[in-house]
Amino acid sequence: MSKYETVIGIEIHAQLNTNTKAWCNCELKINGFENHYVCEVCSAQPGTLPVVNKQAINYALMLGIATDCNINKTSFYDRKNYFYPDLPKGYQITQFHTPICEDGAIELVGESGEKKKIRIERIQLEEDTGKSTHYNDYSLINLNRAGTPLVEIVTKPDFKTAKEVTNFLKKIQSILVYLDVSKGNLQDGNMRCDVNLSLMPKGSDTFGTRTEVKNLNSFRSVERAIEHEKLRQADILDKGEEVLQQTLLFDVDTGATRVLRTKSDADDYRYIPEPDLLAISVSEENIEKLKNELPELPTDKVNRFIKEFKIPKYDAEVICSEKKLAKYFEKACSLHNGNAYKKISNWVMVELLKLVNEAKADVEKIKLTPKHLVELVELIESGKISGKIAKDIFVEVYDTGKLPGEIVKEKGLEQNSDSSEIEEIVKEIIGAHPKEVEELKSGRDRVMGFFVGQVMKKTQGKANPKITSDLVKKLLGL
Amino acid sequence: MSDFNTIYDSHLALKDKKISATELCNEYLKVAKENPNNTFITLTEDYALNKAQEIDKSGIKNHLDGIPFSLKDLFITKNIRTTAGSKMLYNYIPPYEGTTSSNLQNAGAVLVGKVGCDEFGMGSSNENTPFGPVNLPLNKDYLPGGSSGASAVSVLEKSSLFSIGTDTGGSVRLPANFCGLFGYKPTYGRVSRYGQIAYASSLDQASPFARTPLDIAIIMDAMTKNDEKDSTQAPIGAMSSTSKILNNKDKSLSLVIGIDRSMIENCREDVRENLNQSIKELEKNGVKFKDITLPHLKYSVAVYYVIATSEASSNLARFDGVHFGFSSTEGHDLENSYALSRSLGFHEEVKRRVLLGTFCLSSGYSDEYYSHACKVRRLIYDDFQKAFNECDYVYSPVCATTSFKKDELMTPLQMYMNDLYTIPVNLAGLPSMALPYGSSSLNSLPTGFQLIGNSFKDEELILDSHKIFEVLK
Amino acid sequence: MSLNINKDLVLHISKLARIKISDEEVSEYEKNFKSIVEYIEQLKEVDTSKTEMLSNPMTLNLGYYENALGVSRKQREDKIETSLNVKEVVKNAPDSKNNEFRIQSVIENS
Repeated sequence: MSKYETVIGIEIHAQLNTNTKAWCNCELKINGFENHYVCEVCSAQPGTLPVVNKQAINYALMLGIATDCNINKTSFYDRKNYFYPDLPKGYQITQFHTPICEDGAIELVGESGEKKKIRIERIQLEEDTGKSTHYNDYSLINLNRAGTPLVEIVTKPDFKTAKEVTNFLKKIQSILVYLDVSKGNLQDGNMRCDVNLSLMPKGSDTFGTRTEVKNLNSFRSVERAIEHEKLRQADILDKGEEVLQQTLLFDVDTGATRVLRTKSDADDYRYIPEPDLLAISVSEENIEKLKNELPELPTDKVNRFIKEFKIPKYDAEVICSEKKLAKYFEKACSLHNGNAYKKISNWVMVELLKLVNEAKADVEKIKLTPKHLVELVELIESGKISGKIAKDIFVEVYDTGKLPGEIVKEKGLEQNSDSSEIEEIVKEIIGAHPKEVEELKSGRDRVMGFFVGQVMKKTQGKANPKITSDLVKKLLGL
Repeated sequence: MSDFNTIYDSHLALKDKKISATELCNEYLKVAKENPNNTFITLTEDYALNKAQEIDKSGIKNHLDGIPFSLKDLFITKNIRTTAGSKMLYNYIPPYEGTTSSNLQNAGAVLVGKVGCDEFGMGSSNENTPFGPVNLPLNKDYLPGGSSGASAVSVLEKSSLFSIGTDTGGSVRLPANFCGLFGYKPTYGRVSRYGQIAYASSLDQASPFARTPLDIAIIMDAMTKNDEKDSTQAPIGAMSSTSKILNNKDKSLSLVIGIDRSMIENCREDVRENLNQSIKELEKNGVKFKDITLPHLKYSVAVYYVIATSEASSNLARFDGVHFGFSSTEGHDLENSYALSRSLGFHEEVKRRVLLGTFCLSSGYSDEYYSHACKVRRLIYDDFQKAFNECDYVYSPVCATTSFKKDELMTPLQMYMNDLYTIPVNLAGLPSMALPYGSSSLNSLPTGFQLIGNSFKDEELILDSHKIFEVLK
Repeated sequence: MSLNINKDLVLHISKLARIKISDEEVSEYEKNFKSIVEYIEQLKEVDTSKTEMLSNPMTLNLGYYENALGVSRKQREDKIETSLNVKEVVKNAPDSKNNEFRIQSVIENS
C-alpha cells in the first residue's frame, strides 16, 4: 500500500461541432488542403476583428446545462498572450475571469457500485491554434485549425484513481455526443485531456505540488500516464526531494513522461479583457429554451429504456453507451409489433455489436437495419424459424441487406411445425437410442436436449423444438 | 486652380458641371505627386483616375461622388500597400478590404493615396516613422502634430479634400488644431474599426479631417453604416447629419456648455487669449457657460498610458515575422527570430510602448497598474456623465500650446503631455469636435478648442458645430 | 512604492515582449520607464475600492442601444462563407512552402 493519496484534476478541450470557426465564417475543415480554410480574420491580418459564432455559445450553454452548471448571465472574453507560430494573433481568445458556466458536477459509479460526484469548476469558451509540422531545420504552419471553437472543461481535483478519470472522460464524451456538441473523439484530437496530479501523505489535507501532463490522446494513455506519474512522484517524495511544478508530455512509446517546461515567469500570459468583443449576455428565456430543447442525455435514456422496454439496467447501459446504438435499438422497438424488446436487446448487444465491432462499422450505415432485425426477431417469435436458423442467416442479412423473410423463403428454412412429419422422425430417433430413452425415463431431463438435437440434425434445424419435445414426451408416455 | 476647397462646394461644382471629376482629381493628384510636405507614403494615381472617369460617366449623385481624399496608412486597402507607417509592414499588401475604405469609396469618394503617420498611430508629432517627418505647410519649421499629421497636411496642402485619420488619444484633434482644420472624433462604437490597424482597441476610432462641419457631416454619414464585422460598433445605422444641417432653419445657439476654467488657465498665454476670446464670442451669440469640475481628468494621461500601451502590447503581438511583415533572417532559432524581427521592424516609440504595456500586464503588476487604471477610467467616465446632467457639451482646449518645432527636444513624458486635453474623451468614449479658432499672437499658428458631447450625440454635436462655425467665422 | 525598475526587470520585460534591446538601450529604457512609471504611480492616490473596471466604453453604452433602440448585439450565424484564396493567405508571408507558412528556425523544446 502506498503511503500517499493521489489527487487528480483534469482539463478537457473539446472542439465544437459548428459549421464555421469561432470568429469568422471559414468552414471548419481541419484536414482539408493546407491553408485553404483560412481568411483574413483567422490568419490575423492587421485590422481584422472577431465576431462571435452564436452556435458556439449555444453549444457551451447546452453542455453547462447538461452538467448542472450555473450559467453566468454575463461572461467575458479575455486574451491570453503568448508567442507561438501556430497562434497568429499572438494571443488566444479565451475566458479567464468570468467563464460562461461554473460549478457543475457529474455523478460517477465507482468500481464497487458506490456513487461519486466529480465537480466541474468551469466551462469556458476559447479557440484552437493552427498546426505546426516540424522538419529537420524548419517548421510549416497550417492555419486551417486556427480559430476552431473549443470548450475547456476544468474539474476540481476530485479524482483518486485512473479508472475514475477514464470513467469521467467516457461520461463527458457520451454527453458531448448525445448533445451533438462535439465529436468527442480523443484519437482524432477533437477531444483532448490534460491531467493535473499531485500526491499528499495519507490523511493530510494539504495538496502537494502538482504536475500537468499534456497530450493524452487515448483512454489507455490517460491511465498509463497517471500510473507512471504517481510512481514517479512517490519516488521523488520517498527520497525526501521536492516535486517540481512542471508541464509534462506523455510519451506513448516509453510510457514515461518528459518535461515540456518548468513553470516559471515564462508562463506569464498577461491576461487582458478582449477589447474587440463585448460581454456574452445570456437571458433566462434563452436558458429555458435550450433546456426544453436539450436532447435526451445518456442517463435519462437508460432510465427511459428500462421503463418503456422493460429491459434490464445492464442492457440499457450497454445500448445507451453509444448514442447511435441507442437510436438503432429504439427504432427497432418502434417497428416491432409485440413486446419482445428483451429479445431485440439481446440481438443488438450480442450478435449485432459483435459484427459491428469486428468491422469497425458505423451502426447507422450498416445494411442490417432495424427493420431487418425486427423481421428476424418476429420470424422467431411466430415460430416460423428457429433461433439457430436465425443466427445462421444473421450474417447473410448483415452482408447483403436482404430481408430475413426472403432468405428464409429462398432457402426453404421455414420451421417445420407439421406434427405428423416430425412424429415419424421422433419415432425413428427413439428406436435408434434405447439407452438415452432409459435415461430420460429415469428422470434425467437433460437428455431431452439430446433428442431435440438429433431431430434438428435430421431436419437441418427446421423442426419446431417445442413440438419436438412435446412429441418425445407423448411417445414415451412421460 | 479651382476656387472651392470644401467637399460641399466641390460637389455643387461637379453637379453643375463647372468641373469634371477627372479634372478635380488631376488638380489634387498634381499636389500629391509633388508631395511638397512628405505627406504620402503610397500614391494611387491610376486607381484614382479610373474611378474619377467612371464617375464622370455615371454622373454625380452623392455628395462624395468624385471627391478626392486620402487615408492614414493605418487603414487597410485591398491590394494597395498598407504600411502603418512602419518598416514592419513596408511591403504589406492587404488581401482584404477595410470598412472605412469601402464605405467612402462606395459613397463615390476617390482615393488619391495613403498618407503617413506616427508608426502604428503612436505619437503626437508624426516624427516617429521611418518614412520621415511631415512638414506643417503654414511654417515648415513646425510639425503638424500626430499621429495623423499627414492626413491634416493633405487637406491643408490641397492634395485631398478630406482625409481620415485615427484618434486614440487625440491623434486627429491635435493635428486638426495645429493645422487650423476641423477634426471629429466620433463616439466610441459609432464607426467600424474593421480594417483599421489597431493601436489600442478600446480607444481607437476612425476620425475625419475637413474644412467645415458640413463636410464632416457628409463624411460621417458615409462612415456610420452598420458593419457586421465589428462587434463593438453600435448597430444603429448610418447618421443623416448632412440633411439635418442643410435643412436647419434654427440659427440660435441656446446651448449650455460646461467649462472647467482651470483647464484654460493651464494653457500658454497665446492659446489662453484666444480661448477666452472664443468664449466671449459664443456668449455673445447666446451660449451659456456653466462652471463644472471634472476632478479625475488630471489622471487621464497616466490612465491612458497604462491602458493604451497594455492593449498595444497585445495588438502588436501578431507582428512576429511569421505570417506577414518584416522578418529578420539573422535569428538562429525561433525565439531569436521573433526578438530580432520585432526589434528591427518596430521604431523606437512603438518598442517603448509595447514594453511599457507588457510591463503593465505582467504578473505581479497587472492589478496594480492595468486593473487600477481601468477603474480610474470609470471615474473619468462618471465625471463626464455628471457634467452632462448640467450641460449639453463640455468646452475644452485641444492643446496647451500651438504646434511645436521640429527640433524641439522633449522627453517621452513631455511628449505625452501634449495629449492631456484630448485623452479624457477617448477614455470615456465620447464624441468630440476640434474647431479652429484664431491664430497665435506669438507665432501666428492656428489655435482652437474642442466641444465634447455625450455618447451617441454625434448628430447634435456636428449640427451645433456647424451653427457655431457660422457665427465664429 | 514599487519603483523597483532596474536592468533585470527591463530585460525580463523585453524577453516577454520578444523585443531585443541592446545593452545601451537597456539603460535608456530603464530611465524612460522610471520616469513614466513614477508618473503613473500618481494613480495610486485614487480610491477605487468601490469602482468597477471600465475596459471598453461600449460595455456602458450597451444598455443605451439594446434597451432604447431594441437592437441586439452582433453575433454571427453559423453559415459557411468562402475563405481567402490560399495564395492570398500566404502572399505576405516572409517565407512559405507548399502553401504553408515556413519558419526556418527550429522550434526548441524550451
